Formats: sequence, structure tokens, C-alpha cells
Amino acid sequence: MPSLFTHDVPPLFTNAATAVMFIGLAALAVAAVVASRRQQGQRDRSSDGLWHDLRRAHGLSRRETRLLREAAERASLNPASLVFMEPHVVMRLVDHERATRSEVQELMSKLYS
Amino acid sequence: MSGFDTTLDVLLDSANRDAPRLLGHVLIRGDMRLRERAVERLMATTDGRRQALLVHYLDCLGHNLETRVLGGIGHMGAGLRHAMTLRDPRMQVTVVRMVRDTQDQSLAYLVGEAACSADQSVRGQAVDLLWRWSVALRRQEMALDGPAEMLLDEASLRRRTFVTEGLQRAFTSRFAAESPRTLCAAAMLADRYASWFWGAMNVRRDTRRRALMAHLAETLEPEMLSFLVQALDREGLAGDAAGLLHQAFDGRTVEALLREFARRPALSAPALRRLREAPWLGAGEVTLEQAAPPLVTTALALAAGSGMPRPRLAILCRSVAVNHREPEARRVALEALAHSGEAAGPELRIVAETAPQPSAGAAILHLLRRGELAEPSGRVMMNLLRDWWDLSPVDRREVGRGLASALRGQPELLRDHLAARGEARRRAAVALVRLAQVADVFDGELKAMAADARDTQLQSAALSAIAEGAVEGLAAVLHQGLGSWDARVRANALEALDRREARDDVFLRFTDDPSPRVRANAARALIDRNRPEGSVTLRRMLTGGEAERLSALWVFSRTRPDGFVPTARLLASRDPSGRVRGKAAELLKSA
Repeated sequence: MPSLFTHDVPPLFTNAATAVMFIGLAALAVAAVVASRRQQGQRDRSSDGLWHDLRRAHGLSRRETRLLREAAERASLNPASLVFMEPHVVMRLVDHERATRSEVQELMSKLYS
Repeated sequence: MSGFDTTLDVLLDSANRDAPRLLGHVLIRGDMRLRERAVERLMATTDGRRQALLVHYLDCLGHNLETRVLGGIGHMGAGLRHAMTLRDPRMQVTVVRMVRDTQDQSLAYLVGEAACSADQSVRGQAVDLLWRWSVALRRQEMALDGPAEMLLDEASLRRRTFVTEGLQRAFTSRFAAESPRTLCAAAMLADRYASWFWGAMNVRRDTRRRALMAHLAETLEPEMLSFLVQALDREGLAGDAAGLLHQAFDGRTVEALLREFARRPALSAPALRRLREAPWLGAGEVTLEQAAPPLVTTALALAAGSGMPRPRLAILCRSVAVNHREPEARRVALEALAHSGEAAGPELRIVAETAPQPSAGAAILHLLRRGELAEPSGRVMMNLLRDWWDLSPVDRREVGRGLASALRGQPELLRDHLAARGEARRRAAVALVRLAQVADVFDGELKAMAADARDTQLQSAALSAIAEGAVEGLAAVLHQGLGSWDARVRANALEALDRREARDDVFLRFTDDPSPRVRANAARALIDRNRPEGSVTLRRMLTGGEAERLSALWVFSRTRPDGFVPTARLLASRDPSGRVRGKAAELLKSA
């Protein structure tokens, strides 16, 4: 049985449509890769990216994250991620009565053990 | 996994620009426990980008951690390589310093890389390190007796390969021509496989070649001689190398040069010919008269191979044969002189007259072999008698035969020596008379000695000479000798009588002499005279001790009586003494 389109659509038109479709898909893919790279680049350049990676790797809760951020700000650490290298900054949270001793100890154990 | 290790994992894997900053922070200011952990993890990583942080912050780590890093430099390859690629002079200097402090020559390629740095200070330190390593390796090789590639142990060969790789990198940099140390270091370690080096050296207009040759013309260290010796064998370089070798060196350099030639014995003939006019390879070179015998051998081989004119070669050999203090070196020089053709004659005569013991005696032997000692001088005769016992028995016999006619023509040459006070010289003179068979010429002196029982060794020698010579009117002297307490005197007197018309009862008296040698002479005389007592004595001796059996075998060899072969076979196969078995076997072979 003959195809429904073979005699309705001219072959030249079919080829052009296919080419446009492919070019469009390729352009979309390139745009996606560029966007992804740009996003990754931004992430690599931003301090927040590293902060989030570290937080996630240590499985910190919201409160723990907040306490850490607060400790970094009090010590004027820039970038804030330096707090992961400075145990004594976290220890000061107790001095400033921002956290209980047990909370700080648990945090110390998570980050610097 | 500990908490801080988790942090380090994230930082080591992260591409975030703050990650190195955090790692640097902990290395400089971090708590000591965390700092140690960070150092351990950075040393264990294969990520050169991260490991290079240890190089960057090495000075801030503190003594203990710095020592730990240097101790583990074998694991730091990736970091050191990355540090070098950063083109930061401070980092490059640190890398060179780390390699220098650890003396890890497997990292020489990094030093070679640093020698190509745009920074002059980095280049200077890298070249200095490569130079020191090259000199140390070269000196180790100079202590060997052969080519380094054959004699160096595996570890040293590996070190050599590493340093050569570093040098190759430095040599191919655009700064090489400005650095004589780089060129010299490459030259001193370049073996025949170093095509990267020889390729440049073969190009006459290469700036590195011109710089190296200009430097060597000003300063020629012993470590560079290996290069020059190899260069002699390369067509494009041989002329320049020969030019550098044609100068008067000090003794230390001459010795080093000869050792270098000894290590490379397979030099081509054209290369050797270039040494023909070398000033250190001629007569009067004091070093050649003091060098160790193997070096003298090398020098003479070079001189002979260079195609030096024979008279010049002969003078060189003579100067060593006369003036060297080592007998072995003099012997080598004398052998070379003896093979120097016609030019050798006059020089051999000088050696025969002036050389110390035992070289003069050997020179006299060579002169006799060449037929150039028809008229020996008094000095030659004096030296011959002095060196007489240093010659082998075969050589002494040859000298005796060679001097027979001269002694008959000029007996005064020996007469004084036969009457001299020195016992050794008199004995040598008597032995010479015996071997030259000129006892009849000196019969008066020999008779006096044969009658003198004060020195029985001399008396025995004189009797022996008389025994073999045609001296008449000796009966009284010989009979006096038969009464000597010394068995050698009695034996020689019997032998002399055996050759003359003596009565049988003279010999019969000695068939029971305590000395086997005397009994053997008596038995031989009796067997020659067909007296049965001779065979009886011989049989008795064959059943005696080892010395008696050996003496009996001697009689066997001279008289060959009936039943000689079966008896000799029996002794050769069953005698308990190895010496007797050997002697009997020798006799059987000549039977």
C-alpha cells in the first residue's frame, strides 16, 4: 500500500524541515551546555558553592548551619567556609551563649574529629 | 571517616576557587593536628594541582612537616611537575631546592626543566645542581677500570640515566650556549648513545659546540677528558679534540688521560694517529716514568699505535725502562723496546748498561737474541751477573750459549768476577761459565774454587762447571771433593769423575751414601760401566723414600736400563707420591 505523504509533500520541503529541526535541536543542546557550564563556573567562583558542598558533605542540620554561619560572621571569616578549618571559632559560640556546650561538642565532633 | 577528612575530601575534589585558599589556610595557620592531616592527604593525592600547594607553602609548614614532605618526595612527582608548569620562579626554586636537599636524582628531569626557566636565578641553581651531580658521577666512573656502561652497578647506571635526562633537557634549551657548566656537564656524561649531544657537537657552527670548545681551551678539568677521548674518534670533532690534547699537561692530568684511554681501548687507528705529536707522549715526560705499570702499558700502546717514528718510540721506551721505579713497568717498556725494530739496538744497549735490576739482564737477553752483543762491555757483564738469578733457567741457558764466543774471545770480562768478593756474583759467574761451556778458559779460577771448602755452594757450582767442561788435571781436586760434608759437592765431584776415566771402586764407595743424589750419581756411573752394583743400588732406591725414588727416576732417564718402561709405568700409576707419579709419566712420554 503506498504511503499517505509520498505524493502529498514535495521531497525538497521534507529535507529542509528535517534540517531545520536538527539545527534547532543542536542549538538547544549547545545552549544547555553553555548554561550548565556558566552555572558551574558561577558556582566554582562563588563562596556559597563551596559552603553548600561542605554543608552537604557533613550532613549539617539547618540549626548547625546557622550556628556555623554565625560563628564565621562573628570572626569575620572571608570566605565563610574558613570556619571548617578553624575549630576555635566554633568553640567561641559557647562563650557568646549562642549554643549549648553539647551542641558545640557535637558540631566539633562532626567537623574536626 | 573522620569529620576533617570529609572536609579535605570536598576541598581536594572541588573546582571552587576558594578550595586552594582553604587548604593553604590550614597549611599555614591551621591547628597542628589538622595541618598534619592536610599534609598527609596532600602527599597521598595524585592531583598535581592540589599537591603543588605543599611546594607553595613548604617554607611555612614548620621543620617537622617540611622534613616529612622531603622524606616523601618520591610521592610528590605530580605536585612537583605541576609546580614547575606554573612558571612561578619562587615555586621553581623551591622545587630545585627540594630535589637538591633530598638528592633524589630520579627527579633530575625537573631540574633540567628548571634549567630552561626564564628566571636567571632558577636557571643558576638548577645548572649548579646538575653540574654537581655530573661531576660526582664522572668521578665515580673515573675510578673504574673500564667503560662506565659496562662496569657501573645498576643503581649508579640508573642515576646516570636520570641525570643525563635532566642534562638533555637543559642542553636543548636556548640558554645552554650561555652556560658553560651545562655544556661541560653534558659533555662529561655523554656516552656514545647520547645522539642529542653528539649531533650538536658535529655541527661546526653550533653555538654550544663553539662555547664548549672555547671554555675547554681556557680550562680543561680531568673530568672532561672522557669527552675529548671520545671526540678523537668522531670525524667532525677530532681535529678540535686533538688540538686540545696537544698541550703539556701536569702529571695528574696525564694520569687521568691515560686512565681514560685505558678505559676505551677500542680507539680507531685515525684517532690514535692524532696523538703522534702529543707532548705528553714522549721521552722525558716525568709522569710516564712514575705512573702505575698499567698506565705505562697504555701510554706505550698509544705511542706505538700513533705511528710515532721508531727512533722516537725507542727513546720513549728506553727512558721508561731505565728510569721507572717499578720493575713491572720497566719490563713492559723493555718488551715494547725490543719490538721497535732496528732503532731498538742502541737503546737496548743503554738499558743493558744503566737499568736497575732485573731490567738490565732482560735487555742483555734481548740484545743476544738480536745478535747485537758480540762485544759486551764490562758494565754489561756486571749487570748481567747482578741480574743473573732473575732470569729464568731457560733464559740463563740462552744467555750462556749466546755469550760463549764473547767469553772465549774476552775472558777478562769474567775473570775479575770469578775472583770477586761478592758471593752472589761469583756464583752467577760460575753458572755462566758452566752454561757457556767455557770451563776450560777459566780452569785456574774454577780449580781454586773447587778446592775451596769454605763455601761449599760455590765449590759445588765450580765442580758442576768443571764436570761439564773439558778441564784437565783435576783428579786431586775431584777426589778432595768426594770427601766433602756437603752432598752437593760429593755429587758434583762424582759426576765430574764419571765423565773422566775413573776407577770403578771410586763409585762403589758411594752406593751407600746417605744422600740420594750422591747414590744416584754413583749408580749411574756404575751402570754406564756395566757393573751390577749399579742396578742393585737403583733397585734399592726405587723401594726407598720419595726423594730416593725421584733420584732413581733421574738415573732411569739418563741410563735407560732394561725394564725401564714397565718400571716407569708402575711408578706412574701406583706410586703413592704425586711428584714421583708425575715425573714417571714425563719420562714415559719422552721414552
